[in-house]
Amino acid sequence: MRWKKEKGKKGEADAAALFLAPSLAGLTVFLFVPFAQTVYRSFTDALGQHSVGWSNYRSVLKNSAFLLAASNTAKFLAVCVPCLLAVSLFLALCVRALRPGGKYLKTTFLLPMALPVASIVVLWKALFSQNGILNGLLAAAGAEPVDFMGTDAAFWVLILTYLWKNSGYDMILWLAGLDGIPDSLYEAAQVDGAGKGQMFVRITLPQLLPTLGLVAVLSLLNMFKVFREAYLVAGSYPHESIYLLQHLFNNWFLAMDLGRLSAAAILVALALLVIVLPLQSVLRGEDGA
Amino acid sequence: MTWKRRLAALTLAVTMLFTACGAQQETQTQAQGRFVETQITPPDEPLSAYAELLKTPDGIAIIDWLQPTPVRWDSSDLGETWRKSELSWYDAQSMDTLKIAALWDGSLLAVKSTITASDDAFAWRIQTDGTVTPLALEALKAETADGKSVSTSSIQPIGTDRFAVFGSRFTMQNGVYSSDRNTGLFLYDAKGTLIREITCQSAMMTSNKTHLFCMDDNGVCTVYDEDGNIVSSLGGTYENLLETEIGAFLADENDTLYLCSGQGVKRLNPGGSLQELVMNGEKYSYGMPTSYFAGGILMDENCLVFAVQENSEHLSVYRYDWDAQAPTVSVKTLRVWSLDDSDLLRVAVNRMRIAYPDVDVQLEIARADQTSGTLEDIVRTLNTQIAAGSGPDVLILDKLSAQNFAENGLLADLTEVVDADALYPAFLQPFQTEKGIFLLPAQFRVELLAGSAEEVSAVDSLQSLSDLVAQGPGMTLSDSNAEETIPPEQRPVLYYTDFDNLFNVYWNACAPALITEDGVEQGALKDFLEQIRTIANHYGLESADGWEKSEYAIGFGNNQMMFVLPSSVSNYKVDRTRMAADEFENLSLLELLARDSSTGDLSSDRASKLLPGFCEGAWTPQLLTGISAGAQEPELAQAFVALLFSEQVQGQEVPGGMPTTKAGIAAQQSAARAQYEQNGLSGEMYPIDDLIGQLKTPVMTGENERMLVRDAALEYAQGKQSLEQTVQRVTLGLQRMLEERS
Repeated sequence: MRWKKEKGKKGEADAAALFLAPSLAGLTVFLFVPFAQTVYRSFTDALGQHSVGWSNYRSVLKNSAFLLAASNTAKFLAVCVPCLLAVSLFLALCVRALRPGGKYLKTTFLLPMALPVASIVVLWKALFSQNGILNGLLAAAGAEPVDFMGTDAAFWVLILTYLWKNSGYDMILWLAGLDGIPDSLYEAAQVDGAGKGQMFVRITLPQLLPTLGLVAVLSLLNMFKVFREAYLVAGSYPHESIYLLQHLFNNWFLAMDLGRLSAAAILVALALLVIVLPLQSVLRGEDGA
Repeated sequence: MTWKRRLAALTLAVTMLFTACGAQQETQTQAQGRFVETQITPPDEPLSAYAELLKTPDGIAIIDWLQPTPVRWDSSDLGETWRKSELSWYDAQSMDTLKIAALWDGSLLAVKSTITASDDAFAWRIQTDGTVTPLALEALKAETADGKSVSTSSIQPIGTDRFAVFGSRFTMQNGVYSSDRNTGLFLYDAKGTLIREITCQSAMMTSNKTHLFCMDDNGVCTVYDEDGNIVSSLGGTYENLLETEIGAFLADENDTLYLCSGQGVKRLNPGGSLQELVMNGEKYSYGMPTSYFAGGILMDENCLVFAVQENSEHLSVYRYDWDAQAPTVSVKTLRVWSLDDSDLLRVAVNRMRIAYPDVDVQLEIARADQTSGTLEDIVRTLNTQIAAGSGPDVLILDKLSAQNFAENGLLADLTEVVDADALYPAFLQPFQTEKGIFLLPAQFRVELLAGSAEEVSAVDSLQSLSDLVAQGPGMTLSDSNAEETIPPEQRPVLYYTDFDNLFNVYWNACAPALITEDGVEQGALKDFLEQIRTIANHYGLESADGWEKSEYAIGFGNNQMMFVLPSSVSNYKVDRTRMAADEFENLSLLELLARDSSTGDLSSDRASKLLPGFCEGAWTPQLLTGISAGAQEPELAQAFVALLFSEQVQGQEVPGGMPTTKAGIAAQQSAARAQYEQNGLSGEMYPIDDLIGQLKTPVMTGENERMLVRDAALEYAQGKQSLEQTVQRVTLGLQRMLEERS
């Protein structure tokens, strides 16, 4: 009987492996193998023919362009991800509070996500160029025009674009999380005399921790996509405040500096791993509970 | 599963397997057969450019009446051996230039190329024994009435004793040529008696023993019998063929037509509408960019003979035989990649194809047209191929980060491929590294300043030149006064068509001093921007429109290629400006610059020198060549590069740059010297060796850097930003590029 049970479990495992095989094959071909190749290339020359040891890593860590790009990216991450989380949560709470009319607002907030990058670039140029709408308004108000893309203001323009584009998407995720909180908790709290603020802090936020993990990871990944707008508007060498890691990677690839490119990519991957793993534990921890 | 289903599945599997094997077998069958080229130019004296290639009953004849002693060459074994005889019947005084055809009995028919009313005799029949009989050809002579002349375009034998002469009427008044579109085709018998006059607009004519074929400008081919009656009309299907310059229009005895041009030979079957490409010109000598298709004859459907003008003076003769056993599918492929097109590169590719007929030499021009994408897109595609191990074998890295390729180990060593002694030291030394030579330029350009000897010697810096410009008149040249002489006091010092023209000239003279290994030289950059702005503002070049680009195409050089004379130089040569400062890419342009317009000899009043920029001896490498370290065919790549630097290729004067090899310079100068001496000028040539001896600094900055500085310089010239802002913008932009490389 026990043998039959174990045989049954083994059969189930075999079936599971069979069903997972195509997906695993895809992951291997498109993810694991390229990653392994990148690790290998980070220790070789451009053509991958000769080993250069750790010199690529040493060169990357000493390279001032990499340090600038990394610090800009870290700064961007440190500013925009928390801002996005806060803004999108606020929007979700507002939409929820305005039910049933809030569904129209939901659609409105989602629209920027649907806009093509090229359209956003056109809008960006129309708003922020030297002769753009904003400078026109400033000139009308008697103020000096601002070179939005040629000064440190470019950083905040990029932040604004990122928040505007991604708030709707994160709002949807927050809404799903909020819908998952049982009403009985709020009812019980009300009975105990808790106020709205206390309910938010003691019930809503703790219940949203798994959602926070998910939203944070997705926001982190979406953050790297803002390079598209920056590249299309400002080219390969934008103002130093928005010179991001992808700019550097793009230029190193054009220069065929594949060894350093691979080494830098591995370093960035390790850094992201350090950030994402704690978030994963937050996600897993609540699921486990 | 039931046994029926199992049987069905098995049948399907077997069928698929069988079909796949069959398909594979088909692809394994190689197509065979191609034309093989053999040079059969008669030995000893070179043929003049006007020699006529004729098909006779005995074989091939070449009539060269332009030689000091007119000669005739005959071959009865398809050019393997030749018999030479004097053209005793030719009288230069009375016959002048001729069109000659061989009739079916072996006699020759000669007609003057230009017939005027004053010509008493203009057509002759020369028998095989040398007897010369004048022919009246009254109808043709009648065309010269009313002061018109007749240009004899073509003579075609037809039948056993008839011939057709196609002559177009024209007039020349005040240097203006005017031709009559409705011109005459005259059919005569052997005695010169008119059989029929046919009015047509034929652009090309050919014949076999039974029919005469006349194709007009619209591609309509009318077929006549020997009495001049229309047999058929083949219309409309050949229109696009006339877009190419047809060198020979031939017909065989089956009425199959052959249209021969530098692009190749197309065969048109009688009554058909499809054109079959039987020879791709790019694989043969007649298809070279520097070759001119001078004529051809069809021995039979498997043998053609072409006369090809490969330099301005002489013809070469090639025979093309069909080899049914020769494979058409190449065993090996050599990929040559270049960002932009280049005539010299095409010459080398063509030569490689001739030398290695079994190799598929693929020339990839990345920036072929407007749809090619941005420079970044192109480079990204190239780099992806290289990183994947499927990149080109030979790389031409102009305007790209060539040094990055070399430093990153992506190029192979050229030390054993190109003879170091073959290049001038100025072009070799900058590319010699401790690990070897990984890049070499096949051409070069220089920026020169030209003017009166006194003014040129007084200008010793960019500052002094811009001061001179600022003190001189503004831009007084325009399209409206293009034909007028400009008084000296009104002549601007220089001329540029637009801001880019100005910027590029000075960039090529200064770039190495602006961007060094240590970074951006801010002081030099400020000076550069200020001088550019001074000149641009003085001539109004900062506006978007620029000035009229009055460039002239001039045909000279050792192969009659067309070169473009820059507007700045053409205005200077006709005394519409005091000086010229521009880029020079051909020896012939240097000669033109240095020579007196009226005498043609080297001028003693005018002088030229390297444009004084911020660095000594600046020059621009062209066709920066490297072999990929991961080349699929390294030996073929080495052979190609060796060919690119050979005298055979470097000696061809083409647009784009001057040769970097001593043999190339010597060959081009030798050809030019012969031309000048033939025209009664002295054999003294422009001292190119002295100029090359002054060259020290190659301009290797990339396109990104150039565009960054160019955009900033334009905005400064337009007053959109201050000098400090401009310098800061450039410095920061370039600094990032340099930091990435460090």
